[in-house]
Amino acid sequence: MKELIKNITELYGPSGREHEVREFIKKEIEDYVDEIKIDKLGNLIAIKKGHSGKTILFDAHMDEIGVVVTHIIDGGFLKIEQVGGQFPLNLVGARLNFKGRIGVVGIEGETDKELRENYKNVSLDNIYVDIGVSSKEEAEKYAPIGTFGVFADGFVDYGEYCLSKALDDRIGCASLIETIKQMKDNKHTVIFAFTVQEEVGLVGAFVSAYDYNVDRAIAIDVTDSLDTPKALKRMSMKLGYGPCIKIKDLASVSDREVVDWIKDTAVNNNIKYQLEVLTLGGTNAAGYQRTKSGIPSCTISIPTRYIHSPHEMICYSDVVDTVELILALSEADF
Amino acid sequence: MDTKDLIKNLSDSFGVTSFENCTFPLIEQFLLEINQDIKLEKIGIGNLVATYGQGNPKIAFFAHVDEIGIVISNIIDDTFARIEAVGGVDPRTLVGKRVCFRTENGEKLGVIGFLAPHLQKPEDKDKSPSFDELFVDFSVSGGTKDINVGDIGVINVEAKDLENDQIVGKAIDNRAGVAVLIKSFEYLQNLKFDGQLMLSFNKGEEVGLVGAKGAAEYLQPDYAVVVDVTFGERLPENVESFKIGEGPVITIGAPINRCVYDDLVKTAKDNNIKYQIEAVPSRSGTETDIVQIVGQGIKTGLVSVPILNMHSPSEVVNINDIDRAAKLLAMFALNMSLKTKGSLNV
Amino acid sequence: MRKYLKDLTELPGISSREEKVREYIKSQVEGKVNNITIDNLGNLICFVKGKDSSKKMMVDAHMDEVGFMVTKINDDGTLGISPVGGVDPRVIKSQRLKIEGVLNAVVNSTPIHLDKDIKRVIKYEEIKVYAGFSSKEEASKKVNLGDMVTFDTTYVEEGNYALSKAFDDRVGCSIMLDIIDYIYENKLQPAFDTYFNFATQEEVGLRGTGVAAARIKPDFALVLEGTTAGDNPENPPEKWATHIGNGPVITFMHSGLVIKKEMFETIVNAAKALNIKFQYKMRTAGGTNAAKLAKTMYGIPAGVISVPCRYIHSPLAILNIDDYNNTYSLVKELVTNNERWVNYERAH
Repeated sequence: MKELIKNITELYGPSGREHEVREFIKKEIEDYVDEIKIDKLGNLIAIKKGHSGKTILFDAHMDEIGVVVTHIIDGGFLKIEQVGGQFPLNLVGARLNFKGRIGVVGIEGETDKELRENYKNVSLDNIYVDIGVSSKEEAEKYAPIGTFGVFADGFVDYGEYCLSKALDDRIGCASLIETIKQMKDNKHTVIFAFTVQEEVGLVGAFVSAYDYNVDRAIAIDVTDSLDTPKALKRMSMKLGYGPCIKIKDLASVSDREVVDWIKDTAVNNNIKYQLEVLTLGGTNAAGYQRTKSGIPSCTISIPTRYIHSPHEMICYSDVVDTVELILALSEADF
Repeated sequence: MDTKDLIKNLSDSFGVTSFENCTFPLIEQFLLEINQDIKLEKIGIGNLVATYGQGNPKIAFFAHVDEIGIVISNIIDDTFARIEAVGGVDPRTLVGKRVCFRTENGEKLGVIGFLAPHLQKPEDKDKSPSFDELFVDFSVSGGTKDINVGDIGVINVEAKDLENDQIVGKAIDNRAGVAVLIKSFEYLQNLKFDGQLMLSFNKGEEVGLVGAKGAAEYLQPDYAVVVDVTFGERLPENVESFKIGEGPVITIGAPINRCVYDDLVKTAKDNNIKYQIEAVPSRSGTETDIVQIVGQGIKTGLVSVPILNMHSPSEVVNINDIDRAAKLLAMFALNMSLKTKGSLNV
Repeated sequence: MRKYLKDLTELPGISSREEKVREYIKSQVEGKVNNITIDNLGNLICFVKGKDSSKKMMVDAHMDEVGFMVTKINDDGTLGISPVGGVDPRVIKSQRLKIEGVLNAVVNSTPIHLDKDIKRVIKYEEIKVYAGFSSKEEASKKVNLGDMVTFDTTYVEEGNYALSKAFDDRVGCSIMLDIIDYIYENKLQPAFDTYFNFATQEEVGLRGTGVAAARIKPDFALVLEGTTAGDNPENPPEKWATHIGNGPVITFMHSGLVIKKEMFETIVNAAKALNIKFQYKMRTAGGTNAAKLAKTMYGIPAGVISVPCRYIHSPLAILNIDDYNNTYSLVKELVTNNERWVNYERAH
């Protein structure tokens, strides 16, 4: 799966501009599924039919966080705003990719005092992007207003661990692609929803299940990993201890029956798992809870260090275990 | 059915968001005591709906069942664990309390303790603990070996009587609403209601009005009335305040359909039911906000029972307000059915 | 063109109390459209049959303006108000208001001689609205809790500029009325089956449009707005959202939504084809009904086109009349010319 993870994380796909990612996924899965469609918002939905009469849906979002060009200043420098949740500190020192043009961030400061203050309090207001041009006109050629940028860092394979930008949530997409390729004679009908614009408001997940009668919906996303020095002491997730079954985060409280079903399935199939309470953030599960009459939902999360930075890190065995768990759920009675 | 017993039983029941199933059997039992002829079903994400009668008009009353609580987010060692809020919990209300967790092996007692004054630094006396500083001590129940991340708990209290027909307990938000629905069903037994009444006991209100959205979408009633609680305290100078014991609060404003408001007020006046009025400019903070805009729009109203100390284990309600709200809802349902059949000139 | 703008902006209509605006619009479109529906949220939906009936287009502008609601009647006869939508309390000190569009009222303002601290922001909790009543009893005879309170503003037009309240979003409503007139007077048909939705309750959480869309079931939508400019001397140019005079505003992203690429390009290409000077919305803050439509039912892709206005969400906003005319031309083109949508349809 490492080759797949490398290829999919390196694609350019900020919220609202997921075209490359969608094309890539479509090519990977179209020979393995019974039905495939792209809806009005751009969600890619694939179905593998089963015979139990029950339907489960797995969701992974195709979009990554990024920035968007809102102004071009004299001299060809860009002003940006965030696309999804950005910590401005993560932008300083990072390379940004504006559809092929590399940009770097500089910090403003007209006096000593101001510069020092701005270094301490980096915000989208006191930084600019340099794309190596010398005029406004030249800048407009490469990155006109409305151009989206993403982190430019590539994939690093440590063996046990992997490092890349956009593991949130390409690792979820990769897990589902691998699942689709391995899934044979599934008991339940399984819908795979590769959704758009999660990072700007869980947009795609509010509508992707509209045309179907789904019994349970599970989002595959990332969650914090607290096994780094002096990490947030209130949470418990760690790399290498298996996929996390989410109890709650700030966007949703998981359906307890679905949580128990996933836990029992993991136990019965000897798959490592952790229970997760996330004190910040949210996933697409919240969208499925609000679809039509409401779908009992949960999230399975892959623990990840440095989420929303240019270099997120996962443990490879957690991904393998996630795929195994999803495959087991497609057979597990409920 | 004695209102005091009803609300005390409902208050004591464990039903934190995602564990509403624990309270549903109690609600079903009370409803069946009133009338066996109801259809009970679970819909959407698992809301409990009781349907009575058939035909038109279709009237739905909504009340959320879930209460706020806490969840274990990390085990520190053999004795202590960290927690996170489920719903809007003020961390200060947890200090010096016994908490009770629902685990695989039954109930488990813990204590949220506080450093004695003798050992405190003077400068800390003005700082209030946040969730990052709180921890649960499980010494009195065998330590943390049988508690897990994800186990959910509430503050361990029992409902008690206060003077002047008042009850203090946890989860009056929104077991008071649940009690109103049950009592309104009881009142309706004595009235010639000729339509379909649906009582929707919803999940997940405290974490985003989740259950009500699906319930409203599924039920598609002609009229919906949401029942929740509101503040009995003194509010800022530019809004009306309410007093507990002065009757249910009927809301007018953006999330309310004017015709439902008018009908509720008229029903209260015609039946000499004490009521108070609340004007809401944009959001009510209740399920009304989501029910009104479901599908092609539902004619919605909001009736609230005023309480003290909302979102603490010491919420206070006057049982007369529960009875008044229940009567108001039952008479409203009757009036809507008479109106629909053309026998009421309004 | 623009003959309805003055009337529309002067009518009182806060979120959930749009009835006067709705009645006015209804009387202007009766006989000019194929069907008129008012739904449970008060949305006014006007249907005009199109050349290509295989697709449904929704054009959306909201009728509600920001304002206030009476939330308290004080013992001394003054009123307590709460904002409906986002109204900064700093714009209302000593302002003139209207209750239910009829009663005159003022926001009391402590004389400078008596106010110890003139740097302090007066918040809603302290604001007292005075209509001349001297007791709660007296006030209660003419005022009720929940009554609508709006800015008392009259429309002014001079040279290339217009001034009024509620350009957000009566300017969108006005453009829709102008387009309906254009289609009717020239005996034309819009490109697709078109539903002009005059929406309610946008300012209090985009609450009306989804309900209308659930009835219409459109394939795509255009949302028309009056949007922020921010181009004043206290705000540096890189912080401007738009500049009045630079033409209709085409949005690529706002709060809660990135506009679908193919939709965005369709609008930009139409503006270029008509040689209309246009601008992009340069701040992504603030949202429109497009964000709600994207999350409604099966997901309705929407584009956003706006007239730039200074000082919105205050008693007086200013717009450039050329901007209005060019926005009207752009939207009219997209509503009436099937050719503009060929590439969009091809991508689906």
